[in-house]
Amino acid sequence: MRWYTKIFLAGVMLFFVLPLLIVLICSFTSAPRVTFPPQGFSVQWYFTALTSPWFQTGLKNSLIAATFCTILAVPIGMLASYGLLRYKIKARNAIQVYLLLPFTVPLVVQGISLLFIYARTGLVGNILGIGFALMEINLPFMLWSTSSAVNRMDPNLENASMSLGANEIYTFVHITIPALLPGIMSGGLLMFVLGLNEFVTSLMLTTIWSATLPINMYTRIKTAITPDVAAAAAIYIIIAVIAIIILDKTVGIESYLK
Amino acid sequence: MTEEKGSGSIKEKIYLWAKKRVGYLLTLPAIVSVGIMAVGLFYFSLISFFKYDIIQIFVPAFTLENYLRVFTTEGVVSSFIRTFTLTTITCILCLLIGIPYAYFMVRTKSLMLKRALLLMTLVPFFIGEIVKAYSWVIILGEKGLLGSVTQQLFHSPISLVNTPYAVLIGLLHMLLPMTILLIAPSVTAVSEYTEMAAQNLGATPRQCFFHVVLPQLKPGILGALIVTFAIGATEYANPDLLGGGVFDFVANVMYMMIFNAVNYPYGAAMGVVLVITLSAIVYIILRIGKIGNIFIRGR
Repeated sequence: MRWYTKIFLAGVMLFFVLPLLIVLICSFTSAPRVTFPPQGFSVQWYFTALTSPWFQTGLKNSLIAATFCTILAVPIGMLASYGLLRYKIKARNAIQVYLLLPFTVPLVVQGISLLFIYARTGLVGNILGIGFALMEINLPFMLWSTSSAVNRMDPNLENASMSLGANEIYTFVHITIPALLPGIMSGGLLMFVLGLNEFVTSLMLTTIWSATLPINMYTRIKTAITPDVAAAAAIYIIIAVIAIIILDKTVGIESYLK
Repeated sequence: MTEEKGSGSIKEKIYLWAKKRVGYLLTLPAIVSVGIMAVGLFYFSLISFFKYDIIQIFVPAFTLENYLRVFTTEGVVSSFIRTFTLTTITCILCLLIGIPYAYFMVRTKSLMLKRALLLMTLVPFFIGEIVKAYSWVIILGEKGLLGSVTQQLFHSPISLVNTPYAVLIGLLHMLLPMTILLIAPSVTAVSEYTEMAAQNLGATPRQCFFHVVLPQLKPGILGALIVTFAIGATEYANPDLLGGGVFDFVANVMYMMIFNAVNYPYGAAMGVVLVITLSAIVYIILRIGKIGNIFIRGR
C-alpha cells in the first residue's frame, strides 16, 4: 500500500471519529459551558443530565418507541425480503421502488403525512404511534439487511427439509429463520439504534409528554449552552459502540462487507 | 409431502389461493406499513391544491396558486437551488472518497486494517443526526476546536458554524458512511480473478481499477447515490443546527411554513415539488444505470 493511500484512509477514519471524540472529551468538562479544550475534569454533567427530567422522560420514550419499532420491523422486513426474493412476483421491481418510498419521500413530508393519519385516528403523541413511524421510515434499512441474508442463503437447505417431509411452515420456522438470523440480528439492531436516534419525523408526531430524547436534546441545544447535552451525546456514542460490539460478537461486523 | 389438507372445500380453496400468492402475502405487511404513510402523502398532496384560510387553515378547492407561489417566491426557489447544489456536491465527494475507501476496505489483506476501516465507518453510521450535528458545532464553533486553534494562530477565532461549509461537512459526515456501506458489498461481489486476469494481461493497477472493477461496481454505486442523494436533499437537522437559519434547505422552509406560519397548502405545495423533483432524479439514475434493484446484496 502506497503512502498516499495510507494518508487517505487515515484521514477519512479521523474525519469519521474526530467529532465524536471531541464530544466525549468535552462532556468531562467542569466549566458551565462547552469549550475546547475543556476546562478541568468532572463527571458532574453526566449527573446533571441523568437526573434531569428532559433526559429521563426523553430516554424512556425513546426506548419504548425504538423497542416497538424493532418488534414490528423484524417480522415485516424478514417476510417482505423473503417473499420478494424467493417467490416469483411479477410486480417485483414496482414493489421494490414502492418500498423505497421511505427513502425518497422527505422525512419532513413523511412526518406530516403520518400526522394527518394520526390526527384522524387519535394517535398523535402516542409513543407506539411514534414507534410505528420509526419502523416505516427506516424500513429500507431492515430490507437491506434481511435481503442480503436471503440472497446468501442456500435454497437447497429448504428443498432438503421439504423433501424429508417437513411442510412449508415447519421449514420456514426451523430452517429458514435460523439461516436468516444474522441478517435479522444486524437489521434489528440497526433499526433499534436508528430508532433511538431519530429526530425529524418524531418532532412532528410527538407532544411535550411524548418527546423522545433527540427532540429534547435539540431543544436544549437551541436554548441552553450547558455541557449536559454533551454528556447526553456521549451516552449516544457509547450506545453506538455497545451496539457494534454486540453485532461483532454475534454475527461479526464483516457481514456488512457481504 | 405432508401438506395440510383442509377438511372443507372452502378451506382448501383458500389454501390453494394463498399458496399461489405466498410471495405477495409475505410482502403485504411491508406494503401496508408504507401504504399508511402513502395515504397520508396522498392527502398531503391534495391539500397543496386547497386554498389557505386564516381561520380554517385550509379550505377544499382546486387552485394552482400555491404552486405558482413556490415557483415565484425568491426565498423558496433559492432554497431549492441551495438544497440540490449542496447535495450534489456532497454526493460527488461521497463517491470520490467512498469508492476507493470501500475498495481498500474489502481488498486489504490485513485483517486488522480491514476491521479498523469498517469499525470507523460503522460508528458514525450508528449515531443520529442530532448528536453528529452537535459535535460539529463544538468542533467548528468559536469556542471549539477550530476557534481555539485559530485563536492561537491568528489571535482571532474563526467559526464555520452558520456557513455553507459547516452544512457541507455535516452532510458529508452523515452520508459518507452510508455510501461506503452500500458500495462495499458490490466490491466483495467483484471476483478477484477478473482483476488478476486483467493484470496478467498487462493492465496497470490503475487501468485495472477503472476498466475492470469500476464497471462492475455500477449497481452498488448507483444504489448508494440514490439513497444518499434522497437523504441529503431532504435533510432538516443539519442545515438547522449547522446552517443556523441562514442556510435553510427546502425541508426547513417547508417546516416553518407549516408549523410556524400554519399555511398548510403552501407548505404542502413545496413538499410535493420536492418529492416530484427527487423522484425524477431517482428515476433518471435508475434509467441511466439500467438497474431495477438496489436491495441486492450478497451475491
